[in-house]
Amino acid sequence: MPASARPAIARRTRQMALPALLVMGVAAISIVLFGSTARAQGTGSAQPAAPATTVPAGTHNHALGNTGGTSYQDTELGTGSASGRQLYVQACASCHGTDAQGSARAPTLVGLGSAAVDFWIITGRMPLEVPSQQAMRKNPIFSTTQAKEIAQYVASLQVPGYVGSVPQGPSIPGPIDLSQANLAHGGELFRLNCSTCHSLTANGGALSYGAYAPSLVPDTPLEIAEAIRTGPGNMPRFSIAQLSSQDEADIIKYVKYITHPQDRGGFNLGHVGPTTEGFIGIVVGVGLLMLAAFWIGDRA
Amino acid sequence: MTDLTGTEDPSGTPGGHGAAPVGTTDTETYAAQLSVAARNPKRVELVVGACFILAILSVFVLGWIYTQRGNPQLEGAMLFVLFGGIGFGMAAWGKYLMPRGPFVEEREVLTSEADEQAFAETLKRGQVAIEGRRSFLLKLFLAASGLMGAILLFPLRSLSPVGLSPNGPFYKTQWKPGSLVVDENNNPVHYTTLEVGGSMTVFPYGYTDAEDDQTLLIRASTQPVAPPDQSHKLQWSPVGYLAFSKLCTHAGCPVGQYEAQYQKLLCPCHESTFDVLNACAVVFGPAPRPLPQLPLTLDSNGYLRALSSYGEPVGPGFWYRDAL
Amino acid sequence: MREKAADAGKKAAAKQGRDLDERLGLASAGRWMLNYIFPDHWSFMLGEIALYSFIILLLTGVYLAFFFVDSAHEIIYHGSYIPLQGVKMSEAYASTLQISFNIRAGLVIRQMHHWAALIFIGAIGIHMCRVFFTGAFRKPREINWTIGLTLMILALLNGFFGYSLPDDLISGGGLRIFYSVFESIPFVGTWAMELLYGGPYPGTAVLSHFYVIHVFILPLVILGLLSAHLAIIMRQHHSQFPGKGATETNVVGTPMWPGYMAKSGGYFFMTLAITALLGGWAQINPIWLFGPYDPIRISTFTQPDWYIGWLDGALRLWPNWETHFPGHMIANTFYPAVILPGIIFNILYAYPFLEAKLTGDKAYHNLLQRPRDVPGRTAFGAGFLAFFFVLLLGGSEDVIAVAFDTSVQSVVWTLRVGLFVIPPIVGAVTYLLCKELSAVPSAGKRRVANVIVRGADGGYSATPVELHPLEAEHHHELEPAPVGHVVMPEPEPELVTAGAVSPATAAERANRGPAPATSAASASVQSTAASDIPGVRQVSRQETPGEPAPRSGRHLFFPRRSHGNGSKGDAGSGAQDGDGAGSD
Repeated sequence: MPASARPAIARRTRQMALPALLVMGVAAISIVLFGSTARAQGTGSAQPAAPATTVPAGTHNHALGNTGGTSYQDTELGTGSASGRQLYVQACASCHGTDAQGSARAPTLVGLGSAAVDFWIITGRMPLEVPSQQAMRKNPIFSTTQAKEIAQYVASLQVPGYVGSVPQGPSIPGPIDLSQANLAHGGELFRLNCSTCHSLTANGGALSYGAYAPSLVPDTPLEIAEAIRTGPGNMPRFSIAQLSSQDEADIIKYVKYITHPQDRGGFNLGHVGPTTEGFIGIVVGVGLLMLAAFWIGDRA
Repeated sequence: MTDLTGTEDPSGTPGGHGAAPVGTTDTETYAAQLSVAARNPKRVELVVGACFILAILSVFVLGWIYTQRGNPQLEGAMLFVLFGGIGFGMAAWGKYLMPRGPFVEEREVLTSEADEQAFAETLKRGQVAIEGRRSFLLKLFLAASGLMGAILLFPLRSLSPVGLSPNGPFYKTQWKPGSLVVDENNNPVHYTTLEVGGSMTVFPYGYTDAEDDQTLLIRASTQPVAPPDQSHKLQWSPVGYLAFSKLCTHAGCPVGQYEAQYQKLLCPCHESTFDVLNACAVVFGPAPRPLPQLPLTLDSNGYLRALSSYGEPVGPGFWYRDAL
Repeated sequence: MREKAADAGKKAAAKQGRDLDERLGLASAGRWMLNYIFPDHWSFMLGEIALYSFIILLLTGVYLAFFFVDSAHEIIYHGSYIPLQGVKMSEAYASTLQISFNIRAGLVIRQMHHWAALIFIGAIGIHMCRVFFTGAFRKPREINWTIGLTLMILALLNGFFGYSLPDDLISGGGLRIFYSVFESIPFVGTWAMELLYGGPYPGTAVLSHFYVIHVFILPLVILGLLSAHLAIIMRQHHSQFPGKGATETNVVGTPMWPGYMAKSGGYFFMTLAITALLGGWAQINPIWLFGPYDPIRISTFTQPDWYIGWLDGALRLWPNWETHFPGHMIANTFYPAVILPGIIFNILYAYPFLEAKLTGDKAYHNLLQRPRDVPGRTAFGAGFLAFFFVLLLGGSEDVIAVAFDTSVQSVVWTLRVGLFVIPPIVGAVTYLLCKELSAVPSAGKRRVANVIVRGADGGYSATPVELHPLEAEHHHELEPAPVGHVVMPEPEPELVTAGAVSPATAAERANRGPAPATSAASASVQSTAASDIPGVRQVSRQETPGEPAPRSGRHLFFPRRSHGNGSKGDAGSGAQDGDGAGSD
């Protein structure tokens, strides 16, 4: 055999360049895909924490994995507690006003009810860094206890000069029992009322003008219940007459299922449907087959 | 004409069927073409053999998996090993252990003037049958055949057992003046059912399965709502209840995304956006018309009823829509 | 002993061959088939991906058809998937759940079917690109171009019909849009859709109609056209790239038997393997998560499969226009989803004839062109692809808006503008690139590579790689660029001493054609730069010179080692044996 029969490295490099590029492309795509899946299911810990200027240290540690919906029951609080007022003044009053009457930057909170206030705080959406943008889920800066104190305080506020008591929105719901909930019925209700915005796999979706429906993956049953009843942001609110407490529990049970569903078919590709499927089909399916053809056939 | 055997065919002409190695005069070159491509055939043989053995093994594993009532991931993996083993083995066999060529074959010449002329002559043979008066027979025959094709298509009419209507399904809905507004379980909707910022899908009483009757009920306010230039619509929205056809005027998707804060309706299919407070005028997207509004009223018990039917066909446009 | 048995076997085979030949006259045609030459270039296998995934679709589809129920009749589900127990659904959806959860290997087969469909249409598209950009559609292959294009359209349609069959919530949305789109056709739209759906939407028999179309009508038509497609290829023989002795009147490559049959057969199984891997590990269309279709329910992120995505994108990007006549109207969807694809497909159908008309080229073409050599066509094709991709992005505008944290409105407007701006830019850049590439005489050509070896004394020596005799015949070593063109910088070789090139190899180089010393030197410098593992190269120095080298570029996974002298002869005689039975 002559030495010349050996392929020169330059030639081999050229031959390997296309396969290598394709392999790298596939790798990059899988990183993006699985990365985005992880983000969708993540706890939002990568989000920048809100400026915690007035918050005592040690309150960052609220666990988002709170799934039982019972932790808020740890302390029984009376209405309008002194510490609730103190926390409100420190963290909320600059925008919502000292008496929660609202300002040019933020709406009034009077009459909103404790459930709404609790939802915004325990999901970390409040306090908001930039009031103009849609509040994102973050690590909450208040503990559940503190959030409840603030919520109770806000719910106790009255409009000065208003005769009688202001009608209040829903208050923080009691413990949610999912053991009797009907998963299939919850699915029917979810597909009628929720999936239009949050998508069938509760991954969230786009709304108009840059708004979006968030992913429900990190949400606890308590948060879901509060959101259903108070309709935070662009979400419609559902009354008891429309969705009974049983319906609510059914929906929550389904959401807890569908955010971690039975993926019998393998990797879930982010649960966003045909967009990623087409991508994988072309890049991995056809791509690998082109690599195989590249190996079998001549490349000159 | 030469063959893989290399035997020279003296009568060989271009256009024959033989596949010949290039440059068969050079014996050394020719030997190179028939040699295998592998530098180390033993090694390739090992690899190919290993591939086939792997495939055989995967058959047993697959059998075991099936007896265990299966598992998609294991099945997929074993099928991959099975097919991949056979496929990679075969391809490597063909690539490295078979004559590497290149071989050359002369193309057949597709055209032949003689054949074309002969063909035309043969065609002319039939001329006598369709000349003169007989050309009329040909026309009759063609007419009969064409009509036969048309009449044989008629039974396809049965594909639609419920009858055909050029007006399509959306010409008239089941919403009549006084229709009781019910939810998907046929429960009537009271004026206290929804809170401000709530929405639900409703139907006329008794027609909860009718696709074209689906209507989105929105409570946008506690007071009647209408755009300033359409003040007659103020009486259509008792205590702030608004009802719009849920069928998008673009492609008929259910317009389900109610944005309570922006008071917009968004269609999830093609992102058409409607302004709820402005009688669902289109503010973005491909939808060409506002969503038809269903006038509402309250009966004496506080239940919602239709004041009248939709004033126009609901859903997307079609050719005969304007014939209303 | 063994030889005798082999002899007897050969005789038996010949006898059987004789029996068949006497009855069917197969020997001549069979020999023709065995000798049929396939070009070796890898891009000719792209069409095979499509062919093989179609076969996979048939095989998996038949299995699914045993268990699928094409009925929209509503039942209450009581199967094994708990989150849907007690839910009202069509029998079609319930049977798809049954396939996914209870039928043996049902889910794998179902997912393989779906992945094969995506790969099928993707491979058709890429195959078409190859045919387009290399000019393989030119005379005499225009008919096959139109057949192939028809096949692609039928594949798109059949993909859509199949996608709709499980009757899940996402595909149901597609059914609704399909109805609206074709209902918009003037005069006949409403009637046609009512016939197809069995009445006004949602219709009474849409699933059973779609089922017949999906498993019976369209596959048969595709099968027929596919046969015609392949028969025409066999009649005309493959086109081929120039080089290696290829001319307009011959075909150079590997004959069907034995080489190509093994390679291509192996490729079929590799296609199956990739499909099975995806089918087992990449979840596609998990309909149990979507729930059954119900006209009042819908989800955000409703996208069709990618091959319909561009049409969906056109629907999303089109402005909200509607045309009214007295008494009649043309609906919005008619323009983006009927007229636009009509124009696109008609341009594609007419392209071979248009190009022949524009260039006045009526000649036979069996040799392909490099894309850069026909800059106008390449630019047109690239612009066309850019247009297609913008539409495709439009089909996923909401996913993009969420992924990039921007508003749907801005994505739509960006794409609307991009639809008109991007294709011309892509076309222009492609045109300039082609011109530039063809203006550089050495672009894309390969110099004879040198092997740099470090000797025991620490010095380096360069030996040019010897070409295969067949290749050497057509190889012209690159000339230095003529004055006035791009002049390649030629740095002084620092590592290579002039004496390193042995006189013998220098003489060989001279035989192969004009190869100025400067050119060889610069090539060797490049090799030096690229070689970072000189140790591996050294093995080759021990090999005996003089034997013909194999053709270039035939190894990716098997590094070449010297093979014994005997093996060559063995393989050669083996080939003779194998062919002997057929040719006698």
